[in-house]
Amino acid sequence: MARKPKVAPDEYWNPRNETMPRESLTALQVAKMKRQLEWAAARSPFHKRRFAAAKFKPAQFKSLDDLRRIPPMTREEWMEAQAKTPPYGDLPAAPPEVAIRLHTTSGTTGRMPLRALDGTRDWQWIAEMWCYGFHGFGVRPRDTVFFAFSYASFIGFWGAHYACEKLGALVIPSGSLPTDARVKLIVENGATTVCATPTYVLRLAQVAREMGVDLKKAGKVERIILSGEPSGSVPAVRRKIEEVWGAPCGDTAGMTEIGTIMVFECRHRPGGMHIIEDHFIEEVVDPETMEPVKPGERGERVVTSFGRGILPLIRYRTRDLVARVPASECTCGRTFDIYRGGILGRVDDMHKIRGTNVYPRAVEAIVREHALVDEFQIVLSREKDRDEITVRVELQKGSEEHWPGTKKALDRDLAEAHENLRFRLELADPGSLPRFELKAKRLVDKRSL
Amino acid sequence: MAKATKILEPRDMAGRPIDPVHQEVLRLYQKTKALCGRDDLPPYAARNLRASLAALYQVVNDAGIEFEHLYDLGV
Repeated sequence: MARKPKVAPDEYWNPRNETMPRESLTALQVAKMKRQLEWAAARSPFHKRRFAAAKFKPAQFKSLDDLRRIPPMTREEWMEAQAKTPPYGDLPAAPPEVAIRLHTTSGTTGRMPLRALDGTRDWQWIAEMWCYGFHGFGVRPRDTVFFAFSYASFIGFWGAHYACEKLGALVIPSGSLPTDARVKLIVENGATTVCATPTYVLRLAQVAREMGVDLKKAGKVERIILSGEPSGSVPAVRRKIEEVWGAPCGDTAGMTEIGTIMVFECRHRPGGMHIIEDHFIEEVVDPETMEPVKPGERGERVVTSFGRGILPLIRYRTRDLVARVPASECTCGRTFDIYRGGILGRVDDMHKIRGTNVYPRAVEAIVREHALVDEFQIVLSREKDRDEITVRVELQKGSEEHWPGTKKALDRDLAEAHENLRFRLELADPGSLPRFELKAKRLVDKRSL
Repeated sequence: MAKATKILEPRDMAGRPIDPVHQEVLRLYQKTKALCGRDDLPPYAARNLRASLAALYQVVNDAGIEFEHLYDLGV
């Protein structure tokens, strides 16, 4: 029996579209896609060239079934275009003079940063997408939202900041302040919402503990909004965050290439994130064949955005792994489908260790189950032609005596989850492992050094 | 007998009717867009109208009524 939605009168940012029937949603996507294709073919030399090579004309696009006629674009092609005609390449469909901001990507693959230009309309749209997410997770004008973000060339939470101003909330930016000063700001100003990466939210809690501040008692935080790392949807990470903050956390995910978020977790927390389908077409395909996978099956995200116009992103291969399920898996009443479990990893972040597939996200899920673990690092090395994987673990200050027990449990849990692959486990000194504010890089692959 | 004139109900890009409030917003958007096309506006008017147009665009776009790029108007 279908579950009845229990929704608040102001549940949705955009009730007109967030609850629209699927057939209307498809009609809207097709209408927008036609215009976006015409725009790209007329204005972007990059797309004009690629469409011609694939013998594709925008007029051929009549339904979503025609998506497969459109050649997918890759980050490598975009970077190659940038390298040929720096600094922006020939993807831009409008001259740089119309842009008001430049951001670069902090992506996980590639050597050269991607340069993204946006105009006034684009920045309003970027904030708009975050409004879907923040409103959907309960942020309202009465809220005070704290951003632990350094406001630099990484696009990160810039759009989220503007979204909260648009929503009418009180925003506290913290720029380059040290972590202890940020903890003070959160507590002293009664922030109700904290927005940061999962890693940094845990770091804030760790420093608060060292300062003798119990965030659950001293703070007024009602919710944590996460972004920037896939671990925001890892249950063990979320449990840990919720335990130390005493507040529920909701995940969001975006990309510099898009400029904003394309998925968000609503306050009904369905175990995944809703796709903002009135502004994006998200396909999930087999990365080898590019054929669509079945609902619930893991595949690569391919995104078309109806936001940015200077940089039209049409069938962009993201390399993100996701599993799409119908909107009906959530009780919120939205008709936007869901990525169950969030971003499940990257097509290219799998590491083969002595024949066993190892995903950093899966290791993190296990390590975070152990409450005494403060920080960790995965080190891959090659010794006498044999690949080794070591997990270096930092325990909470003063709990080092519990290392033998933690080590034994980790040894068992990691092996069980990885076809009995033996992980080396090392205790790291307190404070010795790197801390991250933005995208955490916990994997060190010494095999390629 | 006089011929009945059939007035077509305005529809959005998804084929849904556009209610009177959204019709009003659309008119405002179109008016602002026309103003942004003028070349006789002083800077304070030209730039603030562009900021307004960018915001109004979000309303008609979120409502599924309009989808377009405004760079030729500097927006």
